[in-house]
Amino acid sequence: MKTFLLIFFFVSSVQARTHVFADRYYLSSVLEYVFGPQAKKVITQNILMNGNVFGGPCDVYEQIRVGKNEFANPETTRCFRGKQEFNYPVHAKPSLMREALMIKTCRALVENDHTFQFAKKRAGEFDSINESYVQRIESLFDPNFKIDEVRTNENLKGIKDYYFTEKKLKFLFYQSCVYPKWQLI
Amino acid sequence: MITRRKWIGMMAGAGALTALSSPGRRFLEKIVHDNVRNDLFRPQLHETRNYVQINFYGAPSRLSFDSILKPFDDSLFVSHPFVANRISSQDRYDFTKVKLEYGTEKINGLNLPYLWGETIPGVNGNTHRLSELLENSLFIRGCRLDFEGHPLNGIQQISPVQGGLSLNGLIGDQSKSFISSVSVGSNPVARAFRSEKSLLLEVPPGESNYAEYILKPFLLEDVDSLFSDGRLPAAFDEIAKTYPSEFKDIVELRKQSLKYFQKNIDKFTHEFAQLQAKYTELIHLAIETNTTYNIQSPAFPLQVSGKKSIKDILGPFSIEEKFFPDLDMQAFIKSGEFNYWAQEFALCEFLLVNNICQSVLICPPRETGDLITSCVSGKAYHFQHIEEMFDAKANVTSLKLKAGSELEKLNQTFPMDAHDTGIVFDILTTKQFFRAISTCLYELISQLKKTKIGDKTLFDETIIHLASEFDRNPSTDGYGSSHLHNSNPTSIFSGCLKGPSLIGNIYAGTLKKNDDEYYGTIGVGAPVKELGTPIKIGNISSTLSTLLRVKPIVKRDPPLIDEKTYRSVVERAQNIEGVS
Repeated sequence: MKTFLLIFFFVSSVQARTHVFADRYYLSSVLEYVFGPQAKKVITQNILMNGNVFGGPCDVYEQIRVGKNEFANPETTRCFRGKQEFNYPVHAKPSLMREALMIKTCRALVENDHTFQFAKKRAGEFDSINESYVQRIESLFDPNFKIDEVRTNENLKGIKDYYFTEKKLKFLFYQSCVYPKWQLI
Repeated sequence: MITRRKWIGMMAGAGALTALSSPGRRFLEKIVHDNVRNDLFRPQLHETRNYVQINFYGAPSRLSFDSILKPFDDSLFVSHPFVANRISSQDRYDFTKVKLEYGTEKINGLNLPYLWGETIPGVNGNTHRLSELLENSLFIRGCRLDFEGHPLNGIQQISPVQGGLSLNGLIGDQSKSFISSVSVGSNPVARAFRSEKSLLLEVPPGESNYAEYILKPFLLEDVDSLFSDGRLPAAFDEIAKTYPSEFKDIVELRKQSLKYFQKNIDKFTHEFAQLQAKYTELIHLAIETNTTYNIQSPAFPLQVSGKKSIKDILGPFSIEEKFFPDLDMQAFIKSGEFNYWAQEFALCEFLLVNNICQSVLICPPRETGDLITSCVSGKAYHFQHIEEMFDAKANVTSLKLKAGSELEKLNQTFPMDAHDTGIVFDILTTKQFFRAISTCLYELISQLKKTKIGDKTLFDETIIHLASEFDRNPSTDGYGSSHLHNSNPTSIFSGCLKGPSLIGNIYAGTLKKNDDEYYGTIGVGAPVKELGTPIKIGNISSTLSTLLRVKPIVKRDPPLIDEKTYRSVVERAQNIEGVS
């Protein structure tokens, strides 16, 4: 029993201490999946270009130099700011900057009509805002989504402050976008 | 049917809504914002001191600034013609004959490079004596480094144990500021950040407005009212209660982020632009008012006595085997550009005075630094275009241009890593560089002194550390200099220091041929009695840790100052007989 308790406390304390966030490439791929190709600019600016915040080193050898400052494949390079990005951490730690950039990105994507409409379409046919719809939005971001009734109910409570349906939906998409769980690996 | 009471109520509500929407709300926010900003971004006393490292990655010669070779009148000193920081004269008839010296100025009993005796420009047309900074200074010399080469020695200035924690990482870990640590510059020093839990924000050197880049994640663009009506944070708080407990720290961080969003801090970017303009103007004035000997490079055709090579004759006046004939060398240097340092000093002031960050590292933007870029030249010749002829009878060497040689118009950059910079150019460029840096440093320190934190000033709570990988060893022919990794000068400025103070022993050197090829007194580290060895980078790091109030990274190497009084705990700085 003692051994079991020890193991339990150890595992749960390790879990509480350690977040392993997915890197910038994973985040951008999920966001592009949810919000569409027109989200690329916002995602690149806020997430891909901030590898030191989100983690995700690039492969320095992918840059094939053909001149002093020319590369054979500049548009596909994942070393956005230069070869020093190979040194970025594999995984990022939680930080104010990371949270601010996620908030900024999610806001921009939700507020942009093109990207928001794309996401709405992704979520499937919309009849009304109910538990099942909220869970469909959550599952867009998180392929391992497990139903969390408490969270779903809080989300539904949160939208009551908004009158227009579009605003309510934007609120829901925003909350799912910033939720940390889908960002962990 | 709507009653009159209900109707009035509805109209009042609509009116309130209008007031709370843009632009009415933005106006209200501005008023609130100004007051709230003062609370959020006011300098405070922290657990650790603030840390600024100004790193001259590329390792320029420090003879003009803080390579203190003859600190006292009775210090052993072996003078070498190319261990120099000043041009004292030039022969009127033979421009190849130039007298150079290691010039000093005695200030508070200490012989410092003569730059410290100069007057520098300040804001609003004021001038100041640079020597005022010495009141709060500590110079450490004679530090011997373990490695050869720029990267490893550069990294050690911030992270003394390879792959271990860095000073800015330690500060960042304990910082409660908005941003834990910032660096500007793309080189191994900027990449040496290591911490246990904090993050480094690297500002790409190409950004036009560093402040905007740093604050970009928190700047509020014009958006729909979904996010500007204040309901979101409250709603977020409620939903965050449903987050699993493992996300508690993320919730806290997110709350802070939303708070900064609401405060709408775009006003800072305008402030920063003004700071940048200020430092740009100071650098311009520092260069304009820089006085050195009015030196002219020789013209063709040229004749000198004795058998000499092109390099012997023209080397001191050349760079990268390019010679600029008949040139006002000082005017040539003054035509160059320098201004990225303006933005970097502006960033230091901006971050510290607004309590945005406690740890700032500024370095040259590229992999190795330049002293001055884009000096505009009318004409230059490569050595390969020049012909040398020795007349044995007359014992005269003549230089002339080869047939078909063409003038090359170019913009010349002077790198800090001056392997191929002639001594005359090196003296001119380093003097100008450090004069401009000192001018910016003076202004930065003035602003920190003006900023109060209770009964202290921000300068009392800030450590400014000037460093590079090593000093330089001038060649024996006046063309170029090599790395001197056995000499690593360090300067520290802080309100908590009482100076000027000098720590560290060096060898006096010799003019005789020796295995190490060290000629004259050049700063090679010698043993210090209390340590039993020359000063090591670990001692400097521990000294900085003591001042910063953080745990030392290299515990086995003690600090050079007392933990309480910050006074030196080692013997008075000596020049010891010997070479290395």
